[in-house]
Amino acid sequence: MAEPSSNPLRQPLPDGVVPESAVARTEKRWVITMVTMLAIMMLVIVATGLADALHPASNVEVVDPRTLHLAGEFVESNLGTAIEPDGSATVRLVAVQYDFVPNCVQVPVNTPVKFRLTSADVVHGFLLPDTNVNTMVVPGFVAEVRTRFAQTGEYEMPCHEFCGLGHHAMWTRVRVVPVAQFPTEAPQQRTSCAEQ
Amino acid sequence: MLNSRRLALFHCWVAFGAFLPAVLLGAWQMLMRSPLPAPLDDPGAYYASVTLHGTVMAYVITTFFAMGFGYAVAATSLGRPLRGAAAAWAGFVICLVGTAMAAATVVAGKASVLYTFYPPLLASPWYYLGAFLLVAGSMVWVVLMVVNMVGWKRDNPERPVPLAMFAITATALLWAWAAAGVEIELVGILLPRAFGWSDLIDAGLGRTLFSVTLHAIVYFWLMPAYIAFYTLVPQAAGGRLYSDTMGRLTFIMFLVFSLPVGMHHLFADPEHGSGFKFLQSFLTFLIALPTLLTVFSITASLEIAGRHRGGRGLLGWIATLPWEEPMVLAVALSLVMLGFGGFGGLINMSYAMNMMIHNTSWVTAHFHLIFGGAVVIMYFAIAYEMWPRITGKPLRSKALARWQLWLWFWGMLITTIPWHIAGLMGQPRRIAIFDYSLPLVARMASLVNISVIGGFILLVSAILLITVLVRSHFGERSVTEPLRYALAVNPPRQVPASLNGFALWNAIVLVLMIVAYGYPIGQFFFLKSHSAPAVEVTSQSAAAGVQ
Amino acid sequence: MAREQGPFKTDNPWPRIGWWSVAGLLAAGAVLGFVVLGGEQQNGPRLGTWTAICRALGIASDTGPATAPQPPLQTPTRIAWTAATLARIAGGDVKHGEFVALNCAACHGEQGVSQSGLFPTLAGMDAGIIYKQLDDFRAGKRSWGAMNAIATALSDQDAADVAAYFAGRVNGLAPILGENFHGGRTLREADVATRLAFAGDPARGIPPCAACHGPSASKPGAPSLKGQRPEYIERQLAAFAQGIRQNDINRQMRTVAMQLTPDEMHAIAVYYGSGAAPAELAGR
Repeated sequence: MAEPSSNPLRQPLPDGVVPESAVARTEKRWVITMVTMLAIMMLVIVATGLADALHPASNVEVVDPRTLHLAGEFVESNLGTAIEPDGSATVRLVAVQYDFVPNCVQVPVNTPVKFRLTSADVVHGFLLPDTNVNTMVVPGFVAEVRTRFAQTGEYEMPCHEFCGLGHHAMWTRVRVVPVAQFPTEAPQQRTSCAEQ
Repeated sequence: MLNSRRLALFHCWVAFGAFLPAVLLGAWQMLMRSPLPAPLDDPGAYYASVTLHGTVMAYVITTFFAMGFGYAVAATSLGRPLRGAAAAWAGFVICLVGTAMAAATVVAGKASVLYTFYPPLLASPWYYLGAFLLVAGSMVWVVLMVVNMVGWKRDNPERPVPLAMFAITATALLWAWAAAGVEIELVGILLPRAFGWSDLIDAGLGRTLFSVTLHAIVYFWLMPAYIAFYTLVPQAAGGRLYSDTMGRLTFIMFLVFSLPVGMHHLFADPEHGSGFKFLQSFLTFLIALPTLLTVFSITASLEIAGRHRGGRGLLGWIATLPWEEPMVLAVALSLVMLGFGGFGGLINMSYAMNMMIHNTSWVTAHFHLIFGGAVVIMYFAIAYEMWPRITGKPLRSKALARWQLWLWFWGMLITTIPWHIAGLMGQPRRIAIFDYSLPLVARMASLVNISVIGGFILLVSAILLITVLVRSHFGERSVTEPLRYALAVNPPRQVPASLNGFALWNAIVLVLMIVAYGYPIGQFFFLKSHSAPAVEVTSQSAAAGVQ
Repeated sequence: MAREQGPFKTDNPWPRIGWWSVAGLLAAGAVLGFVVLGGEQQNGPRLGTWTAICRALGIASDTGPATAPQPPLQTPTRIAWTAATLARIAGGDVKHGEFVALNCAACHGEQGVSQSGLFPTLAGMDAGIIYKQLDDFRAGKRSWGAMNAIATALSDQDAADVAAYFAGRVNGLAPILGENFHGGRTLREADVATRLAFAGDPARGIPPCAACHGPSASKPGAPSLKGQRPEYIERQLAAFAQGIRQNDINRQMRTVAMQLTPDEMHAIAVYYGSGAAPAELAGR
């Protein structure tokens, strides 16, 4: 790089080959352009947040991961899909090494769905490909995700966070089915498509 | 300057010596998760391999490289021998011992927790201790960088600190701040539990502390590349740096804004409200600014060089640049990868859009493109630039070096572009075995196969890199000049105190960190019981840990 | 180079620029994040400023358990792996346990090494697991002929003691961990047992047995299987699959076993149970 060369073009450039004022002017323009660009992108995010309430999770609820199965919201008999009095669905899941329980979830189409998840051991992840449903499942905390499915169908759902040596086999299904398949007269009933 | 030469050489050899096996592991992992057959196909081996690949690439190579480069810069840019060389060697040994300890534990299958630790998963204490020693040893380097800069300032009160030294000191300070998160996590949570002194693990607190490190560390990796952009690239191209002040401001902005932004790794976490997630997302946007400014400065500097070499017209100067110089070629390839990767990064940090790709292969692709691509290719270029200066032997050969850079560039693109697409389709990360009979996964099979090809191109490139460095190392000694740095078009005669030191900026970082992380970390001490028992990850013999 | 210009002096422009821009950015970010965006939550009307701030901090309601009534409570066990439980198990007295174990030899064999496929080998089993099963038998969470009556006759301390005794016996189950990395452990593997034990079956949500039961990794509550009677393993898998046995915390075993075919259960049982006849096993 710095070896002397006979080529005059490789001789060192003199100081001030671009005047200081020109440097300052061009840089100022560039800074303004870039700041404007970033500000516009930021505004888009704020606007979608306001218009579509697109937010990450925003509830901090704690729970003791060791005693989930003894009492409270995440006991075995309360897992699965519950139809609320207002017609919306609440799905409760426990993530454990290396399964989601229940391991097949059934939700009604075109209905507000609230997933509530927690972990009984380590950090897991919950992802429905092609949707905005994506959350970490951290032991000690309840993760809540709200969504609505516009079409019936089946999603394959992986655990997306490394949770131990069986992580790769932690897959589950979410089935979106017509509302008619859900019992409306038995609010205490919990349904899932897992084999019982 | 002899003392810093040996230091730089030893540090760089550790870095690049560890690099080749880590790339080999990466290529094997690509094969393992693809539909193709792989040797030693054991999922346990895969998770150990991912842990080692991540630990070596993220902690070992980067830390050793930054330290070695830092010692070289301190000696050459200040034009005087490095102060505290004995301490530097002590730091080197501590880092080396830590590295060996951590690597041996992973290879023994007792630490498959990945380099991001994931509490309450629990590895052998020796893994955590090794990681801690590596980070702690690098703090010697941080202190030495500050001592050398401050000492020079005291002896040269009338002159501005050279930009290269100013930047490497910013890097050191950034690392000191960034490493605090992982150090507190190790000392406060993981080591006590691993040695059996404590009982439960607060997963939320652990993740939050790690997030302090997790984003700033990326800029610690990035900074040597940016130092090369500002100080070595214009020189190699035969031009001048467009603006010294912009360089200083860039490094200051990296120091200030790379720290209070780590929570954008926690957008999908349930242990924080959305308020601080947004605040840190907002600050994350600012960290794009120094990169955008750098792109301008470097392009302008290259244009000066190109026009000086006879380039005419709007774009004619590009053709006249000395493309035979590995440094010039590398910067162009680096900026292309930075462009692709930066676009992906904007999605990642966008608060709501992040939900589409959080923890999918998109993220893996993003940081491989930015770090493994844009940054590491500059590490190669720096090595090619430094090697003749610290060994006294010419590079053998520049042509081979250019091949190596091109292969790395194409290998990285072929690897990461399919990953981005698979990530959008919902491919989860850190999976040892994909079941290609699942309809969702089956759609990704051809993408995965293409990225395997990229992985093996990268392996060839890594082998070429080592070949060039070894051949040069054992070449014939000939006199070469020391490392030279580009001068600014308008060299600074006087710079304001705040652009010549870091007191102000450290104070600002402190305030920003308190505001951005005070509540998110503090809340864990007020929340009701939420800690979890540790879950040990062990994949081999040794009944230790099993009562 | 005015070295006396400290960070809080304003005669150099940068402290002013730095502090003001940081203050402005923080204020803008906080207002946008906590007030503007915090007030706009899904499925709800716009929130007031104070509620919005609390909501953005994550401490306000609008979440919490839904109101729908819960079905009747069903629990698989009374045991949770809390510090108190673990302390009780760790406090087991081996000497007294040996005395209690005299009641067990008739079915579970000398020193807990079973000679019959009907009964599990207890020697070398983790103390916590024996303790939990005894409590489950006592509480009626698990049913097996005489075991319910025998467990009811034991005190809590007896259970901890006998668990400690069996956990320390050798020549029974192999240590849960202890194998090197090994090729041929993916979905490509033709041998059903090796495939299920080490790779699992992601399409059916079946994790690898080895990730909890060894030899790859262990997990609290999951017993070592190497050296267990194969007939016993197979029958337990069938019991989990049919819902006859329901004392697994968070349905972990039921979820897996329901996905297995009888042939697969048999293959896994043979894999873990054979090749390591109890008498040949090395002690821990």
